[in-house]
Amino acid sequence: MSTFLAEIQGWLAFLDRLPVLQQLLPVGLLLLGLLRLRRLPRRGRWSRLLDLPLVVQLLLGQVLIALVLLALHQRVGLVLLLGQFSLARLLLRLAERPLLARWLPPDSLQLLSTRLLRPLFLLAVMLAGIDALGSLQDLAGLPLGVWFGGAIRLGDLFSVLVVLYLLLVGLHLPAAGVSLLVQRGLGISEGSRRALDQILQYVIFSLGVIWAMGRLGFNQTGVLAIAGGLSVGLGFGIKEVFSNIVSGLWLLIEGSVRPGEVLMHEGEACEVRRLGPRATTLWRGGDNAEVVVPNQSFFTTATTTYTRSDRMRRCSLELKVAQSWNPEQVVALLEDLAADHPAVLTAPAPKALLVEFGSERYGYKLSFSIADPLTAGSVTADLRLAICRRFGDLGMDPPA
Amino acid sequence: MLALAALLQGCLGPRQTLHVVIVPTSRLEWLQRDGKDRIPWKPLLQEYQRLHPGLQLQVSVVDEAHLEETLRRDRSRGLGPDLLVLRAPVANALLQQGLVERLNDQRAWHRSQPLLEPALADRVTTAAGVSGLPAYNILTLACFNRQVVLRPPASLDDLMGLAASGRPIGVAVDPIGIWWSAGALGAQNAMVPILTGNPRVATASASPTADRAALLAWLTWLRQLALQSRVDIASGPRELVEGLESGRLSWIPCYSSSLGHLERSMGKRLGVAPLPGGPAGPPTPFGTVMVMALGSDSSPPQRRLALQLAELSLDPLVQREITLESLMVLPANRFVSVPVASSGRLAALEQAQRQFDERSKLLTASFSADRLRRTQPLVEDLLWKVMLGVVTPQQGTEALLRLSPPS
Repeated sequence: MSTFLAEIQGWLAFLDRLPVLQQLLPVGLLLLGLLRLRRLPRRGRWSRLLDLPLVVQLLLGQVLIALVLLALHQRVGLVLLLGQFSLARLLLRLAERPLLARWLPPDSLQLLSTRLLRPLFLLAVMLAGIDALGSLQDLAGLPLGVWFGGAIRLGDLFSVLVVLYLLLVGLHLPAAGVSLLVQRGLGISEGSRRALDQILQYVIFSLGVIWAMGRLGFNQTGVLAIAGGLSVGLGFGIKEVFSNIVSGLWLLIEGSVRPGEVLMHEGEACEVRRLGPRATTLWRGGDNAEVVVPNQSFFTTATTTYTRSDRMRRCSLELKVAQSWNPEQVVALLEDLAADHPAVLTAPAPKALLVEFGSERYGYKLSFSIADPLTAGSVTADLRLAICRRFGDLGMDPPA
Repeated sequence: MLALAALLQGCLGPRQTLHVVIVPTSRLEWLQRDGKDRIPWKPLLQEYQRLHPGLQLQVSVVDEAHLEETLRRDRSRGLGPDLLVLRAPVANALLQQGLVERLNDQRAWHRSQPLLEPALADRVTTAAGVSGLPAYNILTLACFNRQVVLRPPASLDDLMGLAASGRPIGVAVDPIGIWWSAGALGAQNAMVPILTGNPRVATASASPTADRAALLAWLTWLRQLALQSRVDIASGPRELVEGLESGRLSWIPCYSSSLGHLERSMGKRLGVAPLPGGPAGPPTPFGTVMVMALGSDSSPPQRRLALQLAELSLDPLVQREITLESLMVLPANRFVSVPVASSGRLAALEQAQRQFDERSKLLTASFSADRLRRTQPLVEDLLWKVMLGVVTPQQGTEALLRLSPPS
């Protein structure tokens, strides 16, 4: 670390040089001036310039400074380098707003920008800056010590961290692409596709970690010793976390809980949105809430799912009708009403049954099937409403 | 940014920094990357830091192939190095392009010049001025495995005999790998103008006919050498060194700057000797002088410090330490005696230096690396083709003569 700091301190010596100051000072003053001007109220014909994005103003100013320095036969390399950074930032901005915004939904664009594009931009600027001030190759060769039997150099560690980060944030699109291809090729279900997507991400990231350890020259015996120590720690301290991770992996492999599936959670049908390493995110349609459930709970308790083999759900509603009405007519009426609803499947057909004899009313049960399990509540409510309306039209007592 | 700079400066304390760029000899850059701290002039840096404890030396390595481009880019930004350590011909080329400062305007040069052999001073003197201050010499030697080669070959016939007896030897078509044999077969007078571009010096013993005959003799011998089954034609010095380290080769020509690396890997198995001579006399080892050249962007205090460091490199004590600690270079200061009696390696270096001074007269003059950079690949390609039998020695001779500059 001290060597690294000394290296950075060495770059400051460049500030002793007149040509360096002649380039940096105007750019620094330009930036400060622009920041100050942008706070002032807009007046006059030049105010339009102040409405331009800061990066555009900076780029124009840097070009102007470079032209003035060239006219004075001074050096401009640093100004041009800073201008390249501004240009790259402008291109990134253009790529984000008009281009990618056309094809990507806002939340995906936000994720892509904040997790991949902007970090990559910052990384490129940082590396270009270091390369300009010193030697990137020499800095990469700085020794950091011996870890797990491997002599670690700054460059190795940095490249490994960058690759792992890129794998972590950049794997979604390729994994989704591969799983889509597999779905089209083999005809697997949507749930299986999502499971494959997740498993691919885990597998590739795990391979990345193994590659990283090899690249850093970690001694396998040392890593195993640490893993052994960790397993003791896992047994006592973080066993719940570990248990959730293992449960999540197992659920994915088994396919019992997969993204896109609909299952019952605390009496309500929920859709699995994401199966994370520690917890599963469920979406509850009733109140548009996201429920985060530890993976372990699916692993240790029974789960009712409507989408294991198909997405059809058989629903039912029970009602009591005055015994004065002919049960056969009531049964036919209920089946007709269910069949008329657009969300109710024709096969298996709706079925009404007389299930109870009461002193004043008979009990009936109407069963019907729907394609989307999450709409069970709304379809049932629609049918109840239709029954009330039809009973009213026929002059019958409202059902109980 | 300036505020951050000031903050860092405040936290880390006010220290001066000198930016030094080492330019390893072409094709030997892997040696320098191997261990920047083991370079021969480590004693110089230590002594300099002892004299200037508050000074930070920031040393970086730039390959010769990318040097010009790097310097041009850094110069346009005002971020060029304060001092460069590089081969004299490269320094000469950079001076002609205005990428380093001439030294003859500096008092340090006038103080140091008497310490140098006039021939050495000539090697850094160009029409544009003095390109750098010579620090030490590097030469081509023979490196061998003592366990396999009990007595190093003293002549080209011995070398052939060594290969015939089943000991694998390695050569390469680059300046380090084979050009030394040109002198042993009398072809050096024809080769030097081809390489350096300096006009041929006409003497009674040297004529175009003699050049043709000598070149033919050399190329014929190279072809005969390549026909030996135990002779390995390597792609360059790195392959030769790795071959010797691994035991695949038992004898190779080597640059003295690779001795430290070889010693670390081979230990006492490493033997060092002068290169073998031939019917026309001793060999013509390739040698280069490493010089310290001034960067063109330094502030006045940085320039002063750079000159102090360059001047210190010729200090007799520092020169002796550089020589004795590395055992792979020879001092540039002519008043520093080399203890040849106590070190066989230094004796071999001294002999190679003598052969270089006496036999490579034209190469010891000042020349620009630009010409060598242009002709070297052509010559290497031609030697390669002759050794592999793609062209005959006669055809090779004519092709080489076509590369000669007009007299």
